Amino acid sequence: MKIYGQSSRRTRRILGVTLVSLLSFAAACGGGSSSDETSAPTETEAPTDSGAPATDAPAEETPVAGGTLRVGLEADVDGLNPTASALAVAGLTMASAVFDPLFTFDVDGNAVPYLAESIEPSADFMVWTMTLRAGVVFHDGTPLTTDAVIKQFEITRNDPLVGLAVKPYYPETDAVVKIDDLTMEFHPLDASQYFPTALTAQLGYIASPTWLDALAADPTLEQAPVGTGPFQFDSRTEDSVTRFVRNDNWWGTDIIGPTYLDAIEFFPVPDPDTRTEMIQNGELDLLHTTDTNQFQTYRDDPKLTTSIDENGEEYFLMINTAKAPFDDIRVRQALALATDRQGYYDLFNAGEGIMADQMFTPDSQYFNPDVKQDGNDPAAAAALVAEYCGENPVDADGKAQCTDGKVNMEYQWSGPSVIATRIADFYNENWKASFNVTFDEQNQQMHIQEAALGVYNVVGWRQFGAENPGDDRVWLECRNIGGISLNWPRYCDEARDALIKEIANPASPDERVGLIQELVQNLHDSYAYIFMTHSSWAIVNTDKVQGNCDRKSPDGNALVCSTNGRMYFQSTWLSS
Amino acid sequence: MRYYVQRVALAILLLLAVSMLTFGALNILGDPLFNILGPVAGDVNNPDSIKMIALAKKEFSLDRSLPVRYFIWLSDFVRGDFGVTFSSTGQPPVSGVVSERLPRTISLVFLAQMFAVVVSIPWAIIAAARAGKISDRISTINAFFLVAMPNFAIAVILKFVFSLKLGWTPITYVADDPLRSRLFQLLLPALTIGLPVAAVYQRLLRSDLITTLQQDFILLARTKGLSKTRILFVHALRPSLFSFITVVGLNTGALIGGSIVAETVFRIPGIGSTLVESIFRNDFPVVLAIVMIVASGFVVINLLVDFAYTLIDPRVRR
Repeated sequence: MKIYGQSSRRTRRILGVTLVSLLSFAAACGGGSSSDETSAPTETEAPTDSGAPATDAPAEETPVAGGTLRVGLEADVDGLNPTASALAVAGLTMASAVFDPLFTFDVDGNAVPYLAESIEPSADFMVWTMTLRAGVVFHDGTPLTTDAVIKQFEITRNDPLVGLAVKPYYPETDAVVKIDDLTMEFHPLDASQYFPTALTAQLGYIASPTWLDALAADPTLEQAPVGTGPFQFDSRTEDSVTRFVRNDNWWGTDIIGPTYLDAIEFFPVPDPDTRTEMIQNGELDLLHTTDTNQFQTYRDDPKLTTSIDENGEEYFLMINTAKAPFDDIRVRQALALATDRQGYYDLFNAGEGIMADQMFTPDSQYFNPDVKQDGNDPAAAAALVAEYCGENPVDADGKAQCTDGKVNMEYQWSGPSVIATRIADFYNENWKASFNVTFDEQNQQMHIQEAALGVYNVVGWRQFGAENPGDDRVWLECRNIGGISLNWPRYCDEARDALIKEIANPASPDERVGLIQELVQNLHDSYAYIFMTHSSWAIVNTDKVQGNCDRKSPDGNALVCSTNGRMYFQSTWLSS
Repeated sequence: MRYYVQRVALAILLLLAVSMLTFGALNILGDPLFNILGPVAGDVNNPDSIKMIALAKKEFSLDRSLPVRYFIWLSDFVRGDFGVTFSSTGQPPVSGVVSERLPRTISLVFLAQMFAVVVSIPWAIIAAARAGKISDRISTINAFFLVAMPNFAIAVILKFVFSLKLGWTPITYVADDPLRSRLFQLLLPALTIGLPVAAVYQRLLRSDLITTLQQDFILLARTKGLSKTRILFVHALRPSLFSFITVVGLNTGALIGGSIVAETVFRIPGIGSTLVESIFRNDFPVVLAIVMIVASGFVVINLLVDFAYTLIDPRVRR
């Protein structure tokens, strides 16, 4: 973590994003630069590093109530319905104002109770008994009860898209069983000592059951969410501004602390340059971005405070292992060897961020020092391709796999995007000695659809970075291969699945570290991913934004102030 | 009267042709099912997905033939029902999208047009009155410069100078702000698309004014001792406005086109930016509605221009 600006003497901690929705990645773009990548959702994403807040108030200043915080987001959302909407980083940031999660991450990366009062596992970790906090009411006056949680769980599970990340992990019936009005049992299919991490974000954001009923009759209500959060919906104009105002009846005021801001206005500003101009021109107070080209600008501006998180998602090339020619590991390995990773980093990362060899940064306890991403060896790539093409000139259907001694392949990205096209050109330069590359620029929806359906060879993608690395299983297990796959590379390895089960239920924390490092090695050995860079998120705020790292849980745990670009606002206040 | 009926009939035929071509092109170019079902739309080997696909096709009339769908759409459209958006819920209705966003684009185009007309007329008169002199030459260079500049470049320059450097104007538009603020926020976008258009109007009107100023009746006016200002504004301007009015009408379409750039750069959620987004999302009902509204606006304005000719010169009716 790097801190820049006026508060640079302080450190801060940022934990990773928690996403559930399949459609999360619809909000990101295909390509490769840190500002233009296809991002897959993660069920829960990883902690970054720890430390004290960067933007908390100076000791002599006392928080003051009032004011409207103006936040610049990288995208808008189609709706704010946690059971069905495509909530990527921008959507989750908005949702964090209006919804409270059942659990949330503290600064040490633990999932701690929030709307839940407590949770207890059975001895075998197959049943988790959760008790809700009493006296919590939604913005519409509906009380929070077990029925509300179960209703939301079932609606989410049955959603054709969001449900993809939930269905494989629960039995068809009695997945969540009511004990009493505030107590319920979760019955996941697999034992996991880390089960609460799954209830930290979209799956844990509980909406009013009254509102969910109304939604069924009037889907436009998705634009006007009703939760239990510190802010409540006021108005929304799509693609312009969404406004939430303080919930003066927030259940957490006495337990957690007051909400200071009168209102928050979210401005979706997809163009990162415009976002920068707006904060410099005083039209925004706070923004997030992955556009590394802007980072130096922020650092150079004395009125801005910037914190950069390099420990979230990874950008990589993803390979469809179920389809020739990449069903042969030699071809996958050759593609990795032909890729000039250093060249990519130098050209497209503006000297920011760090190259990735695996899904963890070197400062992570899970980093496996023995795993190095292959690359920059075109001669070795050519040898592997020659061997493959000698054996497999055509596939089983008689389709030519090689032409002129080179493997035929397609690289797909989401466009139109100038930077993504430049990246495709760059890869082609790398690969053309051993591969005949055809380009396939798709609009974002088709790009996602073809990845989900396995109709691709190689794509640029952004993923991983779960707070609980075990939660990245949704992208890795054999059970998530099907007509629509969340295991995008369609790589099934029973040994990997067994490893993932062990990671969820280790004998000790130390053993878990070793198991995760084994998983890192397994991922490398599959050659389904060519790791390029660790994505960097910058959170930038003006001088007057204070206290956004002072969040606490109901039990008094210090909470993260941002997570992979997602921001929170309960403790934020504006100085004069 | 026959003249007016003919013009209206032609306009209706033109709109029908536009609607048919647009409807056909949109339905050939892409598959809207993803918007409705997501990846399920492509999961054609899964019985559950197949059922959902069939259901969605029925619900959105995608299982019908193209001509049938066109006539369903047309009959709804003429009754003011623009259909539903191609989304999982079909919400919001297209009419809702259009009614929310169209006023912003109309405001922008209106402001730009007003600016262009108000600036170009005195600019052209001054240039025509001093034709060939150094001030006219400078004016010509400026006009060509503005005509040659792409809209996005003008937008960036205006934003840099007036917002970032001088801090006089906001960078973006906020739809929920009070009317007065929103009008102010539309200033730079209106200048962005209005400046090149003003230059075009100026060139045209200047040229026509110079021609008019060489007519015998102007000579007569001069010999009668009328002031130069009176000759220019009262006697020369009116007969020179014929082409000007035509181009003002025709340029309304260009302004709407320019509004796409301005709306994108200045973050205005109008129909220009919505049109672009909807094309990428294969949200055909929205695209179709916007195309038809723009085409209708274009046709109506040009009808009005045609009718205006008859007021300026009644011989046109014959």
